[in-house]
Amino acid sequence: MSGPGLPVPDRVRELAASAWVFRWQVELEAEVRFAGLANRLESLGAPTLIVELARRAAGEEARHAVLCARMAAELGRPVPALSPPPPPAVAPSGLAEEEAVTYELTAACCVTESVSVAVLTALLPAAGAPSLHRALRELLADEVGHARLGWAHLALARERGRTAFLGPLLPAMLEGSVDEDLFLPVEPAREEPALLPLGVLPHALKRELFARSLEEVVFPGLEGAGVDAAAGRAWLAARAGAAGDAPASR
Amino acid sequence: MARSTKTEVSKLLRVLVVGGVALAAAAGPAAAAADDKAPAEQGAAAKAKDKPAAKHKGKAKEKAKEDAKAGEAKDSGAGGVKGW
Repeated sequence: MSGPGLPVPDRVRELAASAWVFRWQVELEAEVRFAGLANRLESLGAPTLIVELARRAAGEEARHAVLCARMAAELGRPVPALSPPPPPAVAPSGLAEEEAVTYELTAACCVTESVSVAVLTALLPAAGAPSLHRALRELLADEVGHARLGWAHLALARERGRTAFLGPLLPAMLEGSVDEDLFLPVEPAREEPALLPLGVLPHALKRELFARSLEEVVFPGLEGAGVDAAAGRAWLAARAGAAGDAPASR
Repeated sequence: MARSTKTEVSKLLRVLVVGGVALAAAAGPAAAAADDKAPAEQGAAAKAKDKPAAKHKGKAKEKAKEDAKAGEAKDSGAGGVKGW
């Protein structure tokens, strides 16, 4: 295991570069997703403030992609020349448009952006280079706004009595939000603390932060918005149990 | 997990969720205007309120609809959004 002041092993640097390339892709997909959601929200007669926030988020995600590409390049791995294809729809095909938009905003903002804020908050104090610290701060400030967009939409949907349908769908939504190996053991290099100063969480810490974010932010937030989170909690308990993790203490 | 990280996560409920609800409140008047576009729906909702039996029936119907959706979700490509 590497320690403070020691050179970063090549494998750790490769893993960090690969994580930043993946984030570049995620941010470009988010740009497309938010642009589409802004148009769909407008068509549904959503409040102007919400539409504008979604539109602004699309622009911010484009800027994030540039930051992620720069970090990947600094670690020795330039991003591909071609952008990734547009992201697939994540809402079940049987939902009406209003519910589909609520599903997508919940998945993208209430779950994924909320967890991203937790990840960035954990990464910020460990950031090594000033350029990384600046990038993480910029990303964090914007992602807070993106998460709030989802929670704001959900609060408005609740006023209209249109959130309860999400409860039974939470396991599929959560399953699709995690890497296949999040709850599995991984190669030792992925647990290296030396990843942290490069802006990447060691695997076990990432898993723990994900679980804690669900338990302390996402599930209580959903329940406050009239969504029964029992199915989501059961999904997390089953996945964490299979990984041998004790549920996070409250 | 470091104690400071645990504390930070617990703060996020207020920062994100409560912050989002405040945003929704700020967007409130526009939401009301959007609702005004569907007076027929509002009338139907008011009628349902006056009839408890109808309300109960509506809830059961809604629950059945949700259960059906959960089943459908498995076959319909329901998924999530990957992030950091």
